[in-house]
Amino acid sequence: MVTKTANGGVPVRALQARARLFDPNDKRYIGILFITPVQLLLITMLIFPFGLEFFVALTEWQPTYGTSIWHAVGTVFSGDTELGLNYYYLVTDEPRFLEALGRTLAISVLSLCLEFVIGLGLATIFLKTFWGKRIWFTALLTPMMIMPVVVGYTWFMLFQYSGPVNQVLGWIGGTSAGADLQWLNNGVLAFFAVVITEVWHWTPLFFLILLSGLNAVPENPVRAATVLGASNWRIFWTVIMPNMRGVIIIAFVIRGMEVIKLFDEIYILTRGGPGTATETMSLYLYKLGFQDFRLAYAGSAGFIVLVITVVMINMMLKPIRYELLEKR
Amino acid sequence: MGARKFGPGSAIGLAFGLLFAVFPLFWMVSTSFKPSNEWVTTPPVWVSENGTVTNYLVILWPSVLLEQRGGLGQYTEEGEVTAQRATESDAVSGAVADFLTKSAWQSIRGSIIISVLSTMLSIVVGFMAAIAIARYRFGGNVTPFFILSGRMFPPIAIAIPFVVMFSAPGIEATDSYWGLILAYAAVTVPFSTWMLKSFIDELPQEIEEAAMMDGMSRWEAHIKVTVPLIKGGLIATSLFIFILNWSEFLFALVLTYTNVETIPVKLSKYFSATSGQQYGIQAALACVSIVPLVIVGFFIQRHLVRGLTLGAIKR
Amino acid sequence: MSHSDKKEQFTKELYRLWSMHADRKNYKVSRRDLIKGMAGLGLGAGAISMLMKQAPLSVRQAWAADGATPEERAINGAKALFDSAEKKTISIMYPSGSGGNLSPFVEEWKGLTGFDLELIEVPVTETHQKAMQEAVAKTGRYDIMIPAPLSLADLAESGVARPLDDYMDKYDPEVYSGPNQLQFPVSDFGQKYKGKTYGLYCDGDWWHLSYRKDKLAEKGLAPKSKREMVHTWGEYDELCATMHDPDNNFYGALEYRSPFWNKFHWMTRVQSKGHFYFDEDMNSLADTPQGIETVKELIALQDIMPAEQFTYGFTENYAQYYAQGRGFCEFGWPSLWRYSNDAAGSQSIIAAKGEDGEPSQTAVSKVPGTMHGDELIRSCIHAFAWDFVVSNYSPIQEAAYCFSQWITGPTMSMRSIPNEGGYFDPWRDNHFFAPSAEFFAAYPGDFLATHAEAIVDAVPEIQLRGAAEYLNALDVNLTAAYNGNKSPEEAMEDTAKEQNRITRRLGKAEQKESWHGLAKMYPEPLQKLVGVDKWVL
Repeated sequence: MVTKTANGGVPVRALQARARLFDPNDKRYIGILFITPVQLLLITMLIFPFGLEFFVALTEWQPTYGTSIWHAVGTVFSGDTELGLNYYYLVTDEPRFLEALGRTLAISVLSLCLEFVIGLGLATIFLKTFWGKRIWFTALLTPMMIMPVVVGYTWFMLFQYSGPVNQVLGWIGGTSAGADLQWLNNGVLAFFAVVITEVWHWTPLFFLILLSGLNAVPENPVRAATVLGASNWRIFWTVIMPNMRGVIIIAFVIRGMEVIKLFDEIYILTRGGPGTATETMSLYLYKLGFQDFRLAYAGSAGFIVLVITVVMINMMLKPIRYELLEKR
Repeated sequence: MGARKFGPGSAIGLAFGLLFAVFPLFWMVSTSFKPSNEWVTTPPVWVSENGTVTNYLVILWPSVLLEQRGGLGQYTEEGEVTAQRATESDAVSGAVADFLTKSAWQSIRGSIIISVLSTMLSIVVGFMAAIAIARYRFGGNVTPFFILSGRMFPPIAIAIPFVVMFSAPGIEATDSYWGLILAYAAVTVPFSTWMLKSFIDELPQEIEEAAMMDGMSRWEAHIKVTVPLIKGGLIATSLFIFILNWSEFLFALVLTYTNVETIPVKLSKYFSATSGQQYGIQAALACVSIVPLVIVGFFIQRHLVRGLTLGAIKR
Repeated sequence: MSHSDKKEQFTKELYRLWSMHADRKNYKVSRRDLIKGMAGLGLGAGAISMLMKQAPLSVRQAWAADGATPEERAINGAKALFDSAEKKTISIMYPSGSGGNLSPFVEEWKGLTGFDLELIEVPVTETHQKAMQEAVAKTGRYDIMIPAPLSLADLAESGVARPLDDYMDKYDPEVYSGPNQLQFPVSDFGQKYKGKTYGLYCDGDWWHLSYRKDKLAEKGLAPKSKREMVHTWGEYDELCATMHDPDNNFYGALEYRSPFWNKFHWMTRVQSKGHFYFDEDMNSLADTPQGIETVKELIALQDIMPAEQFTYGFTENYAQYYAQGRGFCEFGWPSLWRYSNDAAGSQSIIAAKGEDGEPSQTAVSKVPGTMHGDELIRSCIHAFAWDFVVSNYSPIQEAAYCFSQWITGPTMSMRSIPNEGGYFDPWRDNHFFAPSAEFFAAYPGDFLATHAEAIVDAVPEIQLRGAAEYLNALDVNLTAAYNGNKSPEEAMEDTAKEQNRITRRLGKAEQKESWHGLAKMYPEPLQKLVGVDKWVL
């Protein structure tokens, strides 16, 4: 550690220069100097916009009222309007908002679990040796590299009523006519279409993380258990899984952080439809803000989402804070 | 550990996994070579027998197609047709002819400029923050998680104030490269900070201290010693951030008008009120746009886990 | 009779008809009479265009009196403004895919006036978003925006759209009067909001019904008249069921049941029953018995429609079914007719031409209506369309207006509409009654006459502030009803509840005022039927 060196880690030259009022090499300042750019960036690009949104969200302003946004912010301070009504309406009078919250959660949980199961299955296969392992490995990872918009358009083609998904399902069912499934236009199916798309896109990540976790499981306890005659199933649950705990939590947290933002794919696949069947939080905010242009209202909904997600994710991060912050 | 034998069960599992992973890609590539009448059919066409590169020409070199048909069918004041109207052999129907007037190069260029510059900005800022956190423990546990929270909420929540802020008098960042670059850097800097921090953490601090003993200042030590030593990590991080920037859609959609265009936005413009979604053209542009991603992804395969888990998992 | 005699007689007749309705006091009725008169004379657009096709160019342009066309006034205006203009480039936001209507004229306009043009393409579905964003951002990046009339209320209320009345007085675009005008009611609800004009109309998007006359003849049936396949909705339902032939892969009806598109069917059907979107007090009428009954009628039709209808929008529907000869009839926009008769461009197999050069397989009809006593009342939905809107934040508003007037002028629109790579459709009277040869080639058969006749029945979408929200409420619930996720009663009750909520939020008094304004822009017979004249604010 720096503090353990003879002169407190400060190089000789810096010691000599200590008399100067400000030295960029001074250990007291250098941390601040290094952190400043990121703080500046985040303050201008995150804190300030959110501050602006916070004030606008207190009003009921929308552009069709014919006034400017700065005027709306002004009314917060002049006390001309009743403040915070949006929040009241959102919670009491807007089923769509709460539904969207629930739906986002449902899509997240369902797709994460599927991704976990499929990813784990594939990862265990890749512990073995077989022909072409490297090629198959790369092929399996490809979906992850594709940009979400392209994923959306691709699955949009696949899920057409006369598309290949229905055709293949028809073959499985033994007809040549294709299955009669309105993937993107039936509420329940559209929900699953979104989940399938999401699972396709991000299972490779789970596969990758879990594979590296499995590779890190120490060999000896497994061997010992095998010698003692434990079944594979039992070894998996009692020896391997406990060793994987950290990795699994990380996988869920990291993906959870991204999946609740899910927007691009749904925007292209269904636009949140039919009806509101696939309307996630992001879609709902987009529609409020950029279709109906109820900007203040969307802002307050955005704020609620912001608080929920940041609190929730920080809670989820708690068990792995150590892994994230400290060297291993 | 576990059974090491690759049995038939494993083979079937792997085959299904591969099929699931590769089939959509196959469909996209296949569609990009289909003529327009085979885009949506019952039953669907798997591989076109009349394969064509027209879709690629539309996005990359539309002038070739325009020349072929002698320009767009238009009427002069005297009522004469300036160009051949669509013919049977014409691959591009009249309804989509408008897409021939503008290639996708502007969006490809825009995507490259924005992705590269915002990646650089994100890396520089992220690297400095990573040093402050890893080497000086700046801000204890709060600062790293404050930075990370920039990644926690849906970007749409911040897009709304962005629209207002970017167009404020004196800023006028809407439809400019630098506005989008700043926005991209702000949402990727949590990744670059955390990922680089994990690489710096792996580097023994003693190396830098030795350099300082040799008379280097702290700044020099970090730039001349740390940077070369984590070169691999820097490259991996850069490529990773590049993927994120290249894929971004929402900000590009709401913050650009015309000077700036990115590929994801261009994709959504291949849509016409009379001829609907241009599947083949979109697929062609999609294929072109994922080439750099797949290449980049291949090179950083080893570091993907680390990048996507914010450096929490090292291998 | 020689060609020139015919022409002279025709011109005389037209001028007589025009002078007949020149009396502004009851122009609405007389315009209707005019159209009727035209049809009575047998001077359908087809015949007229046959006449005009042989006429030399100078005659074709004769509608515009020498030296005083809207185009020339616009050019002169822009020229005069050029030197003092703050900006020498006019930036235009246009919906993707319509560039063919604009880009060919960039050079010409520059040569005429000096102003450069910058065309900014935005995805078709984002025009409203981009225009409204400008209301917040106020960048002045766009001088002209081309949104749909549906956006006019929002754009006007948020102050981004500039009222054009003063410029229209100054330059006279000839849209409200004269031989090249746009007829009521589209002229009003297509361009006006709360009595002021906010946009210059450029795309005639009211519906027609395209059907297979050859198949009808095969069954030994005939249409009710030249421009009417059937008279009423009941007859339509019946005829479609008769024509349904699933064994031969031929469907009786090809209506839209996919999200976004499906609501137009409800809107066009329910309003002919004398049933508006809202009542006098701006309460939603979605859940009235007629509203629910209409949904049930539409659901009943689904039995004779292909299953793809639930996902196919306008274009897929037409390309996969109608143009492939797999359906009997389809409602749609003029492009439906244009492209289904363009065998080469769109691989349509129903574009056969008879010996006289007229389409032999398809025919065009006005939408069905409902009998009220002895009177047949139609309500033909006017959906989409585009308007040239001048931005309030543009530094060169007047020049921007001049360009809009130039490109939408009678001669210029005649030249731009048939261009490839665009989708603006005919809307001015001269498009219908004096089409150029190429114009007629793009819209062959009896289309132009039928479309011209149908304009008097056109009804607007919910063109109020918050239009997108009102329509979305309807769309979402209708989709649910068609898919069987909700009963028709439930769906329409939810629609009404949601729409009333939107009204409440936006301010009932204000919304009521603009709704009364919109109701007064409905076709005369419908207004009378509903009793709009007795409404009081």
